[in-house]
Amino acid sequence: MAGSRLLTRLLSVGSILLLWAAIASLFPPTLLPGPLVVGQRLGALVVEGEFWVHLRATITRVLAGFVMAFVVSVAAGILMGSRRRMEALFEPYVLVGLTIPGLCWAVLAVMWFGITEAAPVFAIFVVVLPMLTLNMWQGTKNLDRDLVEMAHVFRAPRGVLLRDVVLPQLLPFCLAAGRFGFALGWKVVVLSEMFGLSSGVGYMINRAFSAYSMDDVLAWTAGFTLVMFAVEYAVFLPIERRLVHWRPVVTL
Amino acid sequence: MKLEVLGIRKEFPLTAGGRRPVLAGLTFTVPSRGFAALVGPSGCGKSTILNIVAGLLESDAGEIRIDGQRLSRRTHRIGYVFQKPRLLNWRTVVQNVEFGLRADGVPAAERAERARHVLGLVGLDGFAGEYPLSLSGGMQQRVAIARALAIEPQILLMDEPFSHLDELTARGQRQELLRFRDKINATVVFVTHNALEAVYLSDCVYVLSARPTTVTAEFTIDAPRTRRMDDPYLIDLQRTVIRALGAD
Repeated sequence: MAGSRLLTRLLSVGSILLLWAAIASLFPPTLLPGPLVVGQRLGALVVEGEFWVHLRATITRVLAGFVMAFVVSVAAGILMGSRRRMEALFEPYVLVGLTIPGLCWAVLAVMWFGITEAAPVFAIFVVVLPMLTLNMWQGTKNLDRDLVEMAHVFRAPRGVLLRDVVLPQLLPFCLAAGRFGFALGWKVVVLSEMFGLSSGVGYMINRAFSAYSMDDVLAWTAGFTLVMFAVEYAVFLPIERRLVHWRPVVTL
Repeated sequence: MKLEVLGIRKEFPLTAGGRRPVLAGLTFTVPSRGFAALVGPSGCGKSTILNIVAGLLESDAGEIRIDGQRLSRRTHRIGYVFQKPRLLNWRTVVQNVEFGLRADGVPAAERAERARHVLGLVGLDGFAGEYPLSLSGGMQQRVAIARALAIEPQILLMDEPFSHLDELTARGQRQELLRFRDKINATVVFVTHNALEAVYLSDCVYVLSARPTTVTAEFTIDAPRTRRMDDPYLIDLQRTVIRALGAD
């Protein structure tokens, strides 16, 4: 069963590449190069080492902004989900935060912080934070009240309540937040890097754009997409499997 | 320890305004290590009584005494078995049983020893490392009983613990409860709406009225602890209890 699923996945990836190649064959290569050309270009970037330098810069920024937002969102989300007062206080912040486009924050961050590392990290932080908080807030509201009551009956102090009852129920929400936040962070960091930085994948894409090199634009995009794929399979999927090992297998 | 529930009154505010009396001076006593069943119609506030004894709710008037002392959540240990098991599905059976002990800060070695003991008592040795969802409903409820027993409670409250099981499983669970009943040091208050279950398991049955609730009748079960469900004496007594409930 696992084997046939893997096969389906490979077929799916293959079909994307085929579709890309088919469409590319209809257009001149300066407008839309095919996967082979882009793959070669990406290969060259990887071998020359340029890819890794900019990838590292970008990933570091995403991680910094994301981790900070994650920590704050867990605390804020639990507070909002468990205290009506806090919910009323922070709900407008979350809603306003969700509405402001990431592009605005990227521009504002560069205007406030200039060409520094603080600019992209700040932009990621403020864009990702409301989304993650919303997620943790809903997660806390979904907590099983019966279990919390059980913990009170057994006189569980706050620490035990959090560790044994609350956090395990929030873990699936944390995982969703991780996936979502990471993907969102990547979209914001590229904008930031385009506006006001001199390194990173976004900066390189912008440079390729100025030179009107379609090969390079797509090579950088494809490269980062592959990295995100790797993160999903090497980090998030294994974590997910570990989290639900206590759940019996469901067949529908 | 002897449990005395004396003149407990409780009203709940209604959303539409006004107050609805739930408990109207409820009084009953359970001797030390006794097993009392509270039988009443649905919605008569049985869970409210247990929640007040457990200290989850404040009563408006009245007093609860344990060996003559006013009940306090701080000094008295009270075990609670809910209608549903309420287990932590992400923790193993033994971790669930140790929950109350961890909450009380009991050291690890003693926790493990006590958990082993109570798991043996409820007939679940060998299941310590399993996760709750891989167990049957009846076994999950016994894990919940073991969790309540692990804290060595002075009072054990059971809120219709077998009402969510099918009748055959429930029977098995009641037999199990009778089997280890004598090895428990706690004074037990067992709430149910099932009159036969009440006379089968307990030393004495208190019949409750509909809201506002008071005790309307009291029966002592004069039978040895080893019992059969089809004992004519128990069946007879069950009929009497049902009559007292006024649900003929």
